Amino acid sequence: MADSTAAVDETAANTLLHAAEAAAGTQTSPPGSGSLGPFSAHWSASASFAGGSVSLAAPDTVSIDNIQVSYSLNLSLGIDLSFLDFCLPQVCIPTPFGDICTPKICLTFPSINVPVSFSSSAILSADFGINVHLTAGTWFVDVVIQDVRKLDLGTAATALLLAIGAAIATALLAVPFIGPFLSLAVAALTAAFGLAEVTGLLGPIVSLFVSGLTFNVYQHSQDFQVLPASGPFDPAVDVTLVTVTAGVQATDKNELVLSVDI
Amino acid sequence: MNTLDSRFLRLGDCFAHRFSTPGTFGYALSPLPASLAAHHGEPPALAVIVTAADDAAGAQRQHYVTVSMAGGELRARPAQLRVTAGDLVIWSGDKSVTFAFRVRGRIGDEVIDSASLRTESVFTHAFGLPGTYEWADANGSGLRGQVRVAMPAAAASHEEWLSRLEQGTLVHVRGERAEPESVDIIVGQTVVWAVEDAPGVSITDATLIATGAAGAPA
Amino acid sequence: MSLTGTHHVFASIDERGTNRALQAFFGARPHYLHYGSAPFVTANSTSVTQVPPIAFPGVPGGIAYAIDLTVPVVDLFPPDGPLPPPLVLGPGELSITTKVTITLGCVTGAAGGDRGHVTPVHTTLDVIAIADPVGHYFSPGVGYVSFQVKQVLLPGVAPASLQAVLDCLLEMILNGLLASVQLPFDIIDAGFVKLALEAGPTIAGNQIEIWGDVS
Repeated sequence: MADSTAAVDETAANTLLHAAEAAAGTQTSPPGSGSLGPFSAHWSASASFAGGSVSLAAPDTVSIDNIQVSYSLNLSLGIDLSFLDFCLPQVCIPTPFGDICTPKICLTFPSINVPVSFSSSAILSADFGINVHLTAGTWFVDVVIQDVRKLDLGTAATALLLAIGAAIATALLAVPFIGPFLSLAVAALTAAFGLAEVTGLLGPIVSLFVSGLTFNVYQHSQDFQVLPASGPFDPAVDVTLVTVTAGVQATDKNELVLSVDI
Repeated sequence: MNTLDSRFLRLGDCFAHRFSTPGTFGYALSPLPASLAAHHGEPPALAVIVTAADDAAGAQRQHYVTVSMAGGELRARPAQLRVTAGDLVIWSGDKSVTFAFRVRGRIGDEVIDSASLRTESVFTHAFGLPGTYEWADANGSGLRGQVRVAMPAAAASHEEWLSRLEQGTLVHVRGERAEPESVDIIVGQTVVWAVEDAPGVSITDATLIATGAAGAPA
Repeated sequence: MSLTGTHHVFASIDERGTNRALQAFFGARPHYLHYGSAPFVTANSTSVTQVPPIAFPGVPGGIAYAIDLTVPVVDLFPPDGPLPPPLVLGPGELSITTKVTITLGCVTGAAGGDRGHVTPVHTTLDVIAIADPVGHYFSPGVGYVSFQVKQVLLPGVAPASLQAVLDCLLEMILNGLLASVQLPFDIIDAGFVKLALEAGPTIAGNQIEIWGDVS
């Protein structure tokens, strides 16, 4: 028998999980790059987690269904506009000094970077394992993702597609001489990629936050202060958490059990 | 990027001058509005050599000088141009001129400067973005005007739009007055400022001109 | 049968854990086990507690004494072994075993060359007590378990009247020092949850058990 034992059922485990999600806060991924159809894409993203319902299965599986993964994406698309290159025709006009004809002037359109900011959420259902470890004098009990059963992006890809189209139109407005081409340009550019390409970009980005997802459900210094100091003759009372184990016990209820020796 | 400023000639701009009297216009190209001294006593690298007209009723010809950037230096092609008195010479940049340039030189006692237009000089600018452009003289005179640029009608086809780009709009500058003061064009069209008897003016977007008290140029 | 039962959270500390916690407590604060008046204890410290001498007419400076106890050892129900009668460890109870050394500062009589000299005389006795756990709950995660002694036996003391006097004395002393001994909920659940107490503390299966919900 362990010196101390603490157990929570699935109801209380839900509370612990939601607290762990909040404590995990917003996670930021390192910048990444990919492609969107023929265009280059650079991005940075952040995500946070909330909700979900826990079910426990012995010996050490914590299943969590319908976690809401809220993410924000800053995307920069590199778009080559050279397909719009054209020439200003010669302009001939009478002046007081005689007729003047300007030369034909050919314009090349630059490649532009189109920034797109986008936020949405996905639904994650996965099985987590339990990892207990002592690191730098602190005991940790983490639930670590092992098997993603569902990662549902919902209608985010469609919304992102619309957001990209709008961002392209806005970016093109600032390019001189594009104006009359604008609808043609936007149509040509957005035709270069579709829902599949957007999903192909978005899915891996969201998956980055899911891969290796870990929630910390218990953390305590190995040096455990039982009582704080109280007056000049009553110093703090400390014990040492010598071992910590965690697992799921299945009886008439499934319970997450923490066992500690001091 | 498509900025309206005759002091800095960019892709889509032209500077032209009618050389009415024989002589040699020695000039230099500069990417900055720095003072360019005309060369004295030595053959200039860039020149327009103006010869007397063969007959009084000779047809005016136009000559084109293309300005390019190579090896960090502005170059004119042709570097040496022979024209007849009364001809027009038009300078414009090609795609390699990513910044801007200025033409400045002297023929006899006359200084010809694309940043300070006096007489028989022309500045053209093709407008790439819609909006209302208040323009003025950055060199301090009271010259000013307005160009209203609209998007072409949605119903207009691409070909219709391109054909309209061939139509230019003239603004005649006499002294410190522009006629007309306000013009209406569509995106892509060119406005041509023909400058006559002016005190060395520029055609500059008013938002680029630093103001002193009460909006007067600094 | 689940640990949490009809509740959502369960926490327990077993006999070994309780004794280790007591060792830690008295190891850090030994003055709860050592009391004495002058000349045995001249000042309070983490090691000793100074108490006033027993005032008595004709005894200059009062009667000096000292009380020293060993670290109490706890046995949680069910008992590890039989207790000396009439003590019986019942369900929900714990026994506490310690040794007490009573020291008296004996002042010699009127005659003789060492008149007025204080000579310590002492005796060491076994003490066995029966106690109940008492829960103190303030807010989720804030609370502790303490022990209330209800019966004490110093076996082998005779006559029975002296045993009764000493039993009562040690019951008062044990309850006095145990009033400062607290097992916070934190050590019972190792800080796993902020437990809102709903049931317990009770003692069964050699452990102190509490139940509740998580906030």
